Amino acid sequence: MVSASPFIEFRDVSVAYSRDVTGLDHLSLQIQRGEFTFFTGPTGAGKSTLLKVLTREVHHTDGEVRLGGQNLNDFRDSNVHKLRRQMGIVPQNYELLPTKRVWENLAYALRSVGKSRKEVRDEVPRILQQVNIAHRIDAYPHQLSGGEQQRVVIGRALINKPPLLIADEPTGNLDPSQSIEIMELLLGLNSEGMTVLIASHDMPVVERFAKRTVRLEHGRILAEEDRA
Amino acid sequence: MHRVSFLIAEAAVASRRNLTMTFAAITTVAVSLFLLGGIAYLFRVTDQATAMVAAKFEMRVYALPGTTNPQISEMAKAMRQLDGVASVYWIPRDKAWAKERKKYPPEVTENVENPLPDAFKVVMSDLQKSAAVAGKIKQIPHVDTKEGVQYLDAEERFVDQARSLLRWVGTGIGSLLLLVGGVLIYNAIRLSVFSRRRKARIMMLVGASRLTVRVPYLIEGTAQGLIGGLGGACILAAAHTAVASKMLALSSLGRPMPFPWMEALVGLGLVGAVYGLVCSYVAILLPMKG
Repeated sequence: MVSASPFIEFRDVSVAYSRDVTGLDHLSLQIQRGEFTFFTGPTGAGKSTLLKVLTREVHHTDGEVRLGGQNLNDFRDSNVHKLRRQMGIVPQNYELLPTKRVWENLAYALRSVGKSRKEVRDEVPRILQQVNIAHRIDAYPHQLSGGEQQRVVIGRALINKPPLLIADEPTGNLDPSQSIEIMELLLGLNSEGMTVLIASHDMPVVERFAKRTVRLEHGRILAEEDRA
Repeated sequence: MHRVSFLIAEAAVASRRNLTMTFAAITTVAVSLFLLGGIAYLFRVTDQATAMVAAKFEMRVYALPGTTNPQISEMAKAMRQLDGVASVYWIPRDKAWAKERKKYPPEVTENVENPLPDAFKVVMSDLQKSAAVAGKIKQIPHVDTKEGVQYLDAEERFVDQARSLLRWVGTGIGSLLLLVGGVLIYNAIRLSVFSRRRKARIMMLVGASRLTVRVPYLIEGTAQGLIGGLGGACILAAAHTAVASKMLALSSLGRPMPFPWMEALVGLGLVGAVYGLVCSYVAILLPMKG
């Protein structure tokens, strides 16, 4: 049986930050469209580096990375925004604008990708509804709980309606109940067909939501388990 | 259009945030462009002024003794063809001697043979060409090559040296100030970049194009340069008005030229805008790499 070509493929990928510091070490990995995958491992294992290679925040120094059949090396620096519009990125720290309200945070992101004011007016309520934070539309980030802030960040990652969501430690700063809420939100997005990649060292969450788990260490895959 | 309004709004927000630095950059560019523009303007004014006074400067050219009338006609014709010469008048030696004799009692000049040669009065249209014209006249046949060409060489050299000194000192100070203005624009933009790095990161994360991320900073720098340039033009106009009113009070200096508003605004505004654009581009090169 011939399997469909993977949505994401790492072929013998290495990232060397310097001669002695390695982010990824000849890593090979395939992820199918619609998969939900956890990347776990200790600090410095290469989880964030792996995700940043996909978002092109880090350049791989060796090997080949493909997303939807496209080689990431084909994207020149001036065209990286086209790649990033194919994915939603949830960064490790929320990166919300503290002086802007919830809706303004989303509006700012939408305006910066070229949406008109009318489009912003239509899109913001829809996205906030999607991530269940519409009731806090006028709140400032500091008035929100960690879980609510993370919902806004996830909402912001959805503005381009991407087929892929990449989240770096999305539950890292949250208490257990908020972590579960966020994970359920991400599972909901996955059930709608979105491919979700999560870097996490929150093992209780990873154990609770039995999905494909790739354990990294020293930039290599140490173990892989698919409990989906 | 909505994209342009977003980018301009972003640049305006950034300028407001670094108000002190923005003000410093704009005023320094304004003063430096005022100095440079002022020097250019002063040169234009003095060029026109020297062209006007050139008519008052004249050369005396003496022919060798024994030059015949046809030869004198040829000499006049050759001098009129020279670049920088406005007109040439022949002063016959007899007429000159008759005029000269009137200055003295008759007994002094009686029985004295006319010592004067035939001469020409050469009126210049361009003072700066006096030396070249004098050199060429000396090559015309029948011109007394030793002391046959006389003009106010020293005075012209003084005017020229004064203009040259003014040019170097003014350009030096103006350039230095322009450099300081550029550094201030650079710093203002760097501050903007650092104070808005979260915004820039968000833009990059959601897929804003490189141009969208960078253009607000370029608009900010260009606007600072443009406003500085226009400010420089206004200071220049104010200086012109002050000088012009003094000139009107002293009627002997003649009527001042009208201030070239359009040229000053467009010229200095354009120079300021381009300079601001270049400085802001340099400022974002490193922190926004990638």
